[in-house]
Amino acid sequence: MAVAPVAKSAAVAKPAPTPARAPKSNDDALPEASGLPPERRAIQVVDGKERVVDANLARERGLTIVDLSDDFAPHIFKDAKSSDGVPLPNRYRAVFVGLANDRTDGDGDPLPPGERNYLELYGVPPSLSVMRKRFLEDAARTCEATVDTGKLLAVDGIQTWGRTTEKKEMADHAYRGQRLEAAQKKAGVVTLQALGEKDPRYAGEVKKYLRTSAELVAFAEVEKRLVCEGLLDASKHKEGSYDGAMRTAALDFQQKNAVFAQADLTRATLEAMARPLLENDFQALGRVLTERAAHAGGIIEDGSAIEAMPRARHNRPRKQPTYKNKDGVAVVVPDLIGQATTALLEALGIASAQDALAFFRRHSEGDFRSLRVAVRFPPLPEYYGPQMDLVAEIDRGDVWYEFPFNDKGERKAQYRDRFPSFTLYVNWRGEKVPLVSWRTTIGGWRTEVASDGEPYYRYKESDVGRRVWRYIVAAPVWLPPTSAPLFPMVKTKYVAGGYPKVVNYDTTGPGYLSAYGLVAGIHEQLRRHGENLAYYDNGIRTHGSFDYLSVRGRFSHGCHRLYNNLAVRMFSFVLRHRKAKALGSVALGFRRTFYFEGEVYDMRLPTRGYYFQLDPPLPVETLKGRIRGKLKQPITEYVQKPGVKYSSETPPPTTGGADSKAGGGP
Amino acid sequence: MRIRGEWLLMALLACACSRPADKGAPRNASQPAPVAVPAQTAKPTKPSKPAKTGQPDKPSSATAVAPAQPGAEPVKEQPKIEEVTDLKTEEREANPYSETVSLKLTVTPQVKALVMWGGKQMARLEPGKMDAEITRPRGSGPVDLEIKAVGFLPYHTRLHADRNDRVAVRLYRPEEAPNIFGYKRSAEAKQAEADSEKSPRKESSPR
Repeated sequence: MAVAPVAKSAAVAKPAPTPARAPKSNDDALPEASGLPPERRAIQVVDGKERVVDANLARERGLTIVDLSDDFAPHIFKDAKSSDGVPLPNRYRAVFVGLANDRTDGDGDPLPPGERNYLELYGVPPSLSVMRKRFLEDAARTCEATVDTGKLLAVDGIQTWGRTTEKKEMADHAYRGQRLEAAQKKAGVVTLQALGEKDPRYAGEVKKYLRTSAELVAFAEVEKRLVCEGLLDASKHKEGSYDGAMRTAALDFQQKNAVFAQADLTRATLEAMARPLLENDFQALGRVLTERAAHAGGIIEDGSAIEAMPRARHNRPRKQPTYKNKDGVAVVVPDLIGQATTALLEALGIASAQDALAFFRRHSEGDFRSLRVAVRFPPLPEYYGPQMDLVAEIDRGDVWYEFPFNDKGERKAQYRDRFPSFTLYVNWRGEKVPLVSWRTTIGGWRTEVASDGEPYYRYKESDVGRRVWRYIVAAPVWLPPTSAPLFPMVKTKYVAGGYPKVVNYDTTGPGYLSAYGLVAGIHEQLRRHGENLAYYDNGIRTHGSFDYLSVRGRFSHGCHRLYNNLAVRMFSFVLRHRKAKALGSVALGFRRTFYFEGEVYDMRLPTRGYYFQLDPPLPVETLKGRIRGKLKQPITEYVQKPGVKYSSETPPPTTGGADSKAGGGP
Repeated sequence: MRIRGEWLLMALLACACSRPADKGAPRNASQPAPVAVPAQTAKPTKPSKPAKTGQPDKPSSATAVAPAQPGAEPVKEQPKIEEVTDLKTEEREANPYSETVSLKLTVTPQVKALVMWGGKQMARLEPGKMDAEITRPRGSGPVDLEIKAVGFLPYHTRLHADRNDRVAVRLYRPEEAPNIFGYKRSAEAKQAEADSEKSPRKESSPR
């Protein structure tokens, strides 16, 4: 079972894998050990009782040691050593750990008192200590029963507006109610539904009125739930209003529970709110353990590989992807991460939210400084090894080159049946075996500020053809082009007891909000350069993204975005199964001094990120996809945006550069 | 492993020749894997046309150079991969795990100035003493500073506490502002903001 986001659906929010059966009599039970140093300790649950065992002995028996400590960071953020043995500290590791533990913000500064990071959708799952706190706090809440889940689920979603529109809509609703009430009396019917049935003139209005009324009732339950969960401060919120406090609380709830929405009160949000607090925590724990299992096992198969198989006709299910074993028999590519997570939950004796609560009650916060667990993971398929013949492929899916607006400035429908996908294959016994297949992005029509300082649309093409990944960059840095607007580059921030204006490094990184996400693979092409060949970087990357909603159908500037956690997982997997050398932090020495609203700011970016070099490089191919519409080649010039008044009728010529291809750039 | 790298590279080149690079067949798992052509038979040909992106035709950094494969037959016109290095790893520190780092700020011109770190005053500078230095725990987050001096524009800079760092700052007088990057756009943005305040604000849905 894939708990991480997989193609198509918001699978991050899938239920946690539930062990299929109760913990069985454990053949892997190891003798209880005492007096071991922390690095040799691991736990095992044997016959329902937890014991400390020797981690080294567990490894000898073929068990995997899963790191449950608060100090955990994915493989790609680990410190490395140069070929001459010099330590190459990976500085983002400390920030990642600080974020996961709700200790620091994205810069590594202490978090203001009372603030929490809900960064799972940004690729930073909470630590086990944070999960422990959630479980214990939520178990102590008694307000949950006051929320009427029936009312919450009586609607498909709740419409929300800004303050002015909300006021107007509420006034309209009240007026509509009075009018319908009068009409109901006049018609002599008992209910409004009866009025709608009796007099079709009122049918539409009755429907709208009843829907809004139900939404208002559900909204009150949402308020109760958010207050109960400690996310909404009732003193800062006006009851019944979708104000700033409510919006922030709704977003916190969604990010805490991995619901794919941005503060909109969608059906998925309401469903999550209708679940018991501990059930949501249990699902979150499942997702946290999924990441730990994936990194501990150095595995990647999450059940999504089936998306790489050809579509079957007549609504039949797709064929399962397979590989040939040593006897030439086709074996289904397993969902290793799902199986490993199930094994991990079983090893911890956790099958329900109550089990998880018991687990956290018997462990103090201090235990999570070094807690590890010994687990029997599923056997690895035969194609595993230290140097796997991996190949990445990006299918651009349905591609429209035509300008997406008509002469009247109205948006044209450009239907896409096939969305872009990223697939990692292993070449094995003459076959290309898909390991994972996830949704990704390709370039499209994007706004760009041209040399005349005006915004135009420009088609940002994703390069097609064969490339390689030679470099993988952890915590990459993106350089904003000089054409980038200035106002997002300054923000107010809590610093040492004050709130000064500072340069906003969120988009540049390094960090989870960087345009390149938490990790990037640089696409390079071998081209002739005189008599020789040389690698060319055209600015295209496969990278993680903070803009998690964009991965589900929007366009990039040409890069291939993945959910941050999947990008981290995939590139960590590549580094573990290909020959790679750590180069460490690569110097950049970038400095831009700029003026903004009467003050001068210095943007200083000392490094490009932490580089790894693959040797040999890993082949990546981008397929052309299916070109839809009449235009078979992209428009390379700027196109004026509908509704914008331009000082000149002719747009300036386009320019290019690697930086302009950034995935989430301004 | 270098030898293997060479084989893979040559196979990649051979595949690029044998199949149009931009042939976009729908992705299909049953599609045969690319045929690996032995390095000896692979002949370098003109690679596929670069995408029209306006990117200058300049090689990116490269460190790998294809060496001759030991024991293999000599290959005619085997192209080399050029070594172009613009990746420079950071200068190594004597102790990358030291508990503290030293952060230094130097300000010019020689004027009285106040260095603020958030709500705290970090240093008072005066002619003849225009340096400030603090010691911070390594990895304790950046130090965002604001330098204020009478007759000069407030200046914001950052020192990074993940290694020893130093920055030199030149303060600007208000009359120098038009020469600073972003001055024109900042003024335009301010004007646009003022214009929008005059006109009635249109509130859009948060969706």
